[in-house]
Amino acid sequence: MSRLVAAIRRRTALALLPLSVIPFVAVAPTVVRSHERFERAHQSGPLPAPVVALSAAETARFAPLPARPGTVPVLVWHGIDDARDGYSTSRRAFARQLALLKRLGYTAISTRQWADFRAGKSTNLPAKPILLTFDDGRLDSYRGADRVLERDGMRAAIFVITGDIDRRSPFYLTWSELHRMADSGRWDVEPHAHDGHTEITVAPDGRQAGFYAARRYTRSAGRESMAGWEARVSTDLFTLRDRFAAQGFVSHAFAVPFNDYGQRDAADPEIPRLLSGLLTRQFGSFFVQADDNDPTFTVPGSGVAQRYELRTGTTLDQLYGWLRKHSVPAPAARHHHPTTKG
Amino acid sequence: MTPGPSIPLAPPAPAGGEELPTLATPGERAEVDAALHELAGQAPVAGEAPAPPPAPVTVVDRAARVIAVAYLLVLLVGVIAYKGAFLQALGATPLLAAYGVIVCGYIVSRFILSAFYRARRDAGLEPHVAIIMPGFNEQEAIAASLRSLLALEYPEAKLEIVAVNDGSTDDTLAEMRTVARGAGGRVQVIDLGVNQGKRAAMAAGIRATEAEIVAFVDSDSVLEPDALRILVQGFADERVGALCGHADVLNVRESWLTKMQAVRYFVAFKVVKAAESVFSAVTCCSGCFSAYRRAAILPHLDWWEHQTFLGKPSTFGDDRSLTNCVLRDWKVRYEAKAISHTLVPSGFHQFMVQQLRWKRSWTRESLIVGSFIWRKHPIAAVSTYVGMLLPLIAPLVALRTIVYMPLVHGSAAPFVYLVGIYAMAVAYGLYYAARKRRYDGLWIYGVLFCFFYLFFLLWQTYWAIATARSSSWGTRPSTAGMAQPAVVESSS
Repeated sequence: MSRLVAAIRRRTALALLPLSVIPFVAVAPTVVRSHERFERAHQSGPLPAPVVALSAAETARFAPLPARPGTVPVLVWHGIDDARDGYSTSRRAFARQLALLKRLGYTAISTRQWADFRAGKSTNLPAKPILLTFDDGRLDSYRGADRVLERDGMRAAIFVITGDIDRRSPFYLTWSELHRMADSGRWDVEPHAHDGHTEITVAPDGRQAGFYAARRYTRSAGRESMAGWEARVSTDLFTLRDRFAAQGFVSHAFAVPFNDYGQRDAADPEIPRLLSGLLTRQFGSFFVQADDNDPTFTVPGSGVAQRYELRTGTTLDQLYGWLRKHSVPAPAARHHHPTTKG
Repeated sequence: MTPGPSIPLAPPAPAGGEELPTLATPGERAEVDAALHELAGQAPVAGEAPAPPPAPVTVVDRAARVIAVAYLLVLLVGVIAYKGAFLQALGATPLLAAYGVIVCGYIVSRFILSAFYRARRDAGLEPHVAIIMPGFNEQEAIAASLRSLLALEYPEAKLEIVAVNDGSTDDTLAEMRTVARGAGGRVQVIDLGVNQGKRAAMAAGIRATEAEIVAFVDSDSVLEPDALRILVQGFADERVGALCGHADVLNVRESWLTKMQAVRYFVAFKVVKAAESVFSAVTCCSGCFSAYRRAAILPHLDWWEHQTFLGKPSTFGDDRSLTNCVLRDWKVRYEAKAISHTLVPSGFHQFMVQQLRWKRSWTRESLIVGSFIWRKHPIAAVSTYVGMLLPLIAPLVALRTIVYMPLVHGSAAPFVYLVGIYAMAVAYGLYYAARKRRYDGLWIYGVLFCFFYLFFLLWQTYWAIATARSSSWGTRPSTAGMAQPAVVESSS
């Protein structure tokens, strides 16, 4: 008997070695999160603007463009980061892009000025206005862009995902940071989505689409009804609107997540029309990008408006080429509709 | 003796195996065993079967040891890597981050330094030694303690025992005399008549002998038969003024508290004292078992006996204080193979009172050691100053992390802090596990101790400093059947 007890004791004593690892494993995620939060809390200030200058060859190549009254080009970035992930723009590339805009004589306007312009109330727009926007409300956008904007006397709008702000995800800006940005006079805060910046399953084969862009498919309930779609989407948009109201931010335009308001999938032809109406009623204007990234400059009106997208690897020549192409009115240019495929 | 109120320690890679004490002849061993039994409160039963031989070291033990070592290394590397990843925090919260780096560096450096510790070779030294044993109301244990000293493996002609009765009101004096009568003049009994305190008793003993080396053994400690011989070999170096023996916990199995202390003592001696010893600057020769060159203490004896602090006599902390007297001008080393076994407090209250006393004398003696340690090796000096500073800051950091941060900022800081403490605690326990020949689950008590320290002991520091003037021992004679009067609880 005592031998048995001794054997059990010994086993237990030996088990202490592996058992003592458990607390480390249990706490590891918390420690990692806390470390992230620490970094987030202590590394959130704007980064210095990189020193850049256009070369002589570039200056020669990027000749001044004529102003085109009655239009405002709109640019969109996703984030300012050195990651070559397809979306992010490096700090240096961003600084060069702004140097080009400055060289071309553009003046960045606020979303409020742009909304007035859209409403036909454009009284005191600068000679060559441009609207700079950032989607998603990423911290790196602020950190990387703020000092460059300041140096070049520009401003920008940032379209935020309020659900991610609620979740305090370290990747995104917080409300207090957004307020500070707005107070600096360099930033406008605009809506992008609440929880709608995600993809959902829309077909039995597992096909995915933007949260707003299609009816959701679930194995248990099949495809949701149009009423279900409308309830889901409007709930999210209303929550988004409420968050903005609670923070005292006034929205002037909405940026459509994933550039998809239902126009891509022909399965529900009524969705683009319904969503477009909903977004126009709620926000006045909503932004999309052109699939070939050759959008038109914006003009007065309501509803959809297009933006030129700057992604990893977008060159100065591409940006200049687009600006030049649309600065000279083309006889056959169609201004009011997004160029959609399929 | 054991560390002052410093941070509980984490262990380094173990430097070789734990050497089991080499046992003396069966007769001597029996004498020591009897003393151990008696001290532990269980008189040996006549005709009792001999204790079973220690279980052999098995493959499982070796495997467990290898795992413990590997685990320990992974843990240490992990901690260093984590701290490295956090270095950027120095820019954000410089003070706090610096504290973290210093704590980590202090702990890790203790272990690295202790790896350089080498035990002395037997130099064949056999100086004349007098062991001073003061006693106050210890009639139950004093005879066994004295007999165990007589049984030590040391030339009879060169070993004298000085038993000092410090005005006991029980039969302590009679017990001393009984032992002396049977010892053929090797035990000298001094009677102070009235209770004058431990220092007075020790000083009387020191004055009563001409021996070159004076050793102190607490009456609640028992020596391995070869401990004295091993200890004095360190005096082969003429510049060594004092030597500190190793102390293991005798009543390990008595309570959860004694189990914790067993691991704590092990690390405090094998790591902290060993690290200090590398620079011959051990700051406290534990009262459990230590030896001094008589020439090194004589110039300080009067001062030490009548030491005062802020106008009040310093009654406890005799060991740390005496070490300080010697350390100023001499080398002081630790001898890991000279092993004593000592009784430690088993009850919570008793333990807390002892710890408060240690912290008070630590406060007092830190001021003294701080005034001259800078003349020693720079690493020893920096370690000592850091070791003084950390316990002062630690409670503030703990409060901030565990209470302020989560309440005010809803921060996860306590988890990070606690997992840090846990990492240190596990490393500490693993060190114990890795250095024991036979795998022993007791190491988990070392882990518990760190948390015990965090929740109970850490907070004593300020109170101890505020009341450092106090000369109260704060103890009452134990009722546990185990002789534990004020005097034997020495260990500052």
